[in-house]
Amino acid sequence: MDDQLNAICRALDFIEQHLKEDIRVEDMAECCGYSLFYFIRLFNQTVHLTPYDYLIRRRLAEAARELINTKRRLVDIALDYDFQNPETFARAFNRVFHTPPSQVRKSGVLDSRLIQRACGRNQLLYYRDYGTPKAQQCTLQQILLAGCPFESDLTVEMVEQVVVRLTPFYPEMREFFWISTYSSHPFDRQPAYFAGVELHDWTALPTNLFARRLPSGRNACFQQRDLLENLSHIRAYVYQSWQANTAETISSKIEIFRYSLSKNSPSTELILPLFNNNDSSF
Amino acid sequence: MEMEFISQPAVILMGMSFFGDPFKAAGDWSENNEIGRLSQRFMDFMAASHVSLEGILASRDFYEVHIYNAETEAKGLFEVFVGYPITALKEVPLELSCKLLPAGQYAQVNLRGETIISDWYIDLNRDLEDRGWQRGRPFFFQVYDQRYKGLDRIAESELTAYIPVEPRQAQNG
Repeated sequence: MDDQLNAICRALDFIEQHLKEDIRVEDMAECCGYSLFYFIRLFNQTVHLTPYDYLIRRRLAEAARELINTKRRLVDIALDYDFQNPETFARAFNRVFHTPPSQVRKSGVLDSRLIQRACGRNQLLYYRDYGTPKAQQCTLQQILLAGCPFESDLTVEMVEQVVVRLTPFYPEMREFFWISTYSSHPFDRQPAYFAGVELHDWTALPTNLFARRLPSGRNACFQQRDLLENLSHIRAYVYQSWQANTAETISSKIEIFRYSLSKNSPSTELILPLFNNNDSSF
Repeated sequence: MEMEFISQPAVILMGMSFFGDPFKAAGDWSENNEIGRLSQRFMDFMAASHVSLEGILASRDFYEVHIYNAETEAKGLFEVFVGYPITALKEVPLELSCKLLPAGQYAQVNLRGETIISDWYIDLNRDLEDRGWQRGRPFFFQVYDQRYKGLDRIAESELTAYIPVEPRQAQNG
């Protein structure tokens, strides 16, 4: 098993070293000493993307970084990363980032969750030890939440802060929702974080709390043990591998977490609205 | 100072908030303080928003709410919320929050010209007591409507502040 993991790590390193070159999947297989067929199957099982898709996503990620951080011409960046022409580059870019490269150049903003980072050994070990989180489709009705904003992303430590802030208002609180909102406006580059409990009557909203709306619609729900401890790995899987292998499109605007405070088995569920949602908010 | 005591229904606002010391970087009535920046951010969002909000906006009156807490007196930290009043929650954009201004008794203070940027609230507690009231919940809000012309035309401007009040309780002893 370790030999196979080491071989895939060698292939990942090989890809990183040759992002701007005309490499083929055969070259990656050769670098591992495996047959093409065996390599593709092993890579797919280990990284949860095909070697070719992973290569394209890494090229696009680096090209996007250059689009944002340099003034180089779009055509030069496209050719540099081995795309045949700007049109091919723009099509691939749009497919992965849901926005054209010209828009990213103009706004200087790109949703970091959609960027394929170089896959490292830790991500592969996470897949080996935990497996991949399984998605279930669920439909939510519109929910109104009473809560307050937070300054950083949801972590195990942040759960304690949420409890401290909300318990005075809702001592019987059994679960809370956490919303991370990713704005596409250039003046609002950082995600906004909010935690709240379900509010059945908005006239009961305490003055010191805020109300936020969770729209109705279809969602992909992911559950896994230690979800918060592995959030970066789970995001990497969901926004790259899961998204690449499903006909559904995840809305990039919000992420929802439902955290159960059950003493016996606290659990977290990641709920991602699907794009062809009936709610016009998406 | 013109002051009336009114019974006000609940108002629900849609907008954005800031928590901290809004005057840390720039003082009162500067467009560069955190309240000015928050208002600008909200206005920019509204201008850039592709969702039509006309169906839920009660008016384009601009509300600025200050909400105090245990840290306000000691550290000068408080919450500022800016936004518009709405009639329905259904289409509120995901990026925005809502705030409820509760129904109740309010002191309604009309401010004109230079009084707007003066320290008119310093003697507020005494003025309320003189009229048989005291401050209620720890917040207040100001409404900027078409009478407010901007900081550069403050002499011609008017706005209204609302302070929650309750009947004054007799002091023990």
